[in-house]
Amino acid sequence: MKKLLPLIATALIGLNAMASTLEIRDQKTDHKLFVMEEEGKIEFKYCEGASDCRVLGMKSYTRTEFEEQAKEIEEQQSFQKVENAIYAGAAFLFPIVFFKAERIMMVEKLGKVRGLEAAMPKSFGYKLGAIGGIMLPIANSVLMQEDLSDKEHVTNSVLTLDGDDQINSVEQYVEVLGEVLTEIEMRRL
Amino acid sequence: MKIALRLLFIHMVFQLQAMAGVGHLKSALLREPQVIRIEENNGMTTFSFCLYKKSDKCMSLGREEGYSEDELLELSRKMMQKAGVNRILKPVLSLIGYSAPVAAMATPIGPVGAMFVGSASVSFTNMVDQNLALSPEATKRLTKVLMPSSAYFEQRMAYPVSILDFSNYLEEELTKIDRCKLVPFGMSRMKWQCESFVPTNEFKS
Repeated sequence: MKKLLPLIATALIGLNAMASTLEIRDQKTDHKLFVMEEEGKIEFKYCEGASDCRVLGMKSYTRTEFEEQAKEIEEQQSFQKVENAIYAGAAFLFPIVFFKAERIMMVEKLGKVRGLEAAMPKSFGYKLGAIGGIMLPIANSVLMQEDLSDKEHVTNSVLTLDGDDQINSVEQYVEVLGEVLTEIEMRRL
Repeated sequence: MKIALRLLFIHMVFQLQAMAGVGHLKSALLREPQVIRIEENNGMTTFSFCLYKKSDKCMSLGREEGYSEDELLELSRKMMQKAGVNRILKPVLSLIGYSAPVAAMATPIGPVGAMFVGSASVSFTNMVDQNLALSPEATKRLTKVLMPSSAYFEQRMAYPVSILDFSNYLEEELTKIDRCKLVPFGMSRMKWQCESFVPTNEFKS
């Protein structure tokens, strides 16, 4: 029996480790992030060095909260797609409306000669200025959209508890994780 | 027995350490190493602006003794509502700024008048773009920073605003609570700003 005890102990430790812990190591520094799941509760521990460890987040989080977060990110992504479609439509329709429709309206209103005179000039510089003036804000708002891929990656790796175990920068990973956790906390407000 | 007591003591020390949380908010701009440090100690949360993450050179934002959880939760909820309003308000305002000169051209004020309207609209659009209190992203970030739990996270802003400007905005919102306590007498111009912090009947005198 005495001989068996260490064996049982190692087996138990092994099982415990298997009970879903994700350890993420840094390639350059000795920072580590542990994601532990016990009885449906997920906890995070961040170690900057061997002894400097702390718990991230208020308390433990549940799996459903992360599932909700994943769903929310999906919704945001589809919303962004719709937004992009609207922007693309606007970018396509605007020049047509701006020059063609205006011209047709003016000709209908004032007759051919005076209508063409009153319509906006057809010169290249004018066109460039008018279209650029609208395109730049549109392009800017497309570029300013939040990049959700990092958040999606972190949420999924917490849910599945696997993924990269050695990554470039744990610090950046922790920042994205913080972002995900703040959003979960915000839903509790 | 002694060992058990010692273990218990060590456990308690660790527990105490775990209770005091430190979180940081970093800038989205790479050239800015400055951070806003959020520390929680015995239920009071303090905010400070530090030169870099592990620096001791920090300036406290708002009250030095910190803010209680209830105060922060209330302010945070208020900011969340404001972010919802700003999401609609900001595009409307910037659209007004862009379309004002075009609309002015349709009225009989003439080209010179339209020039004045145009220059006014440029400054109006600038104001709308740069005012953090009108930006939905900045207000949402402020909601996150003011949550009592933010002392336990590392955050980085996804929105390209200078952390100096953001810390000013944070301080402004934090000091609003105390600024309004200083005016118990009838300063009518503060009434509008302070109504939400101090009950209205205190202004009558």
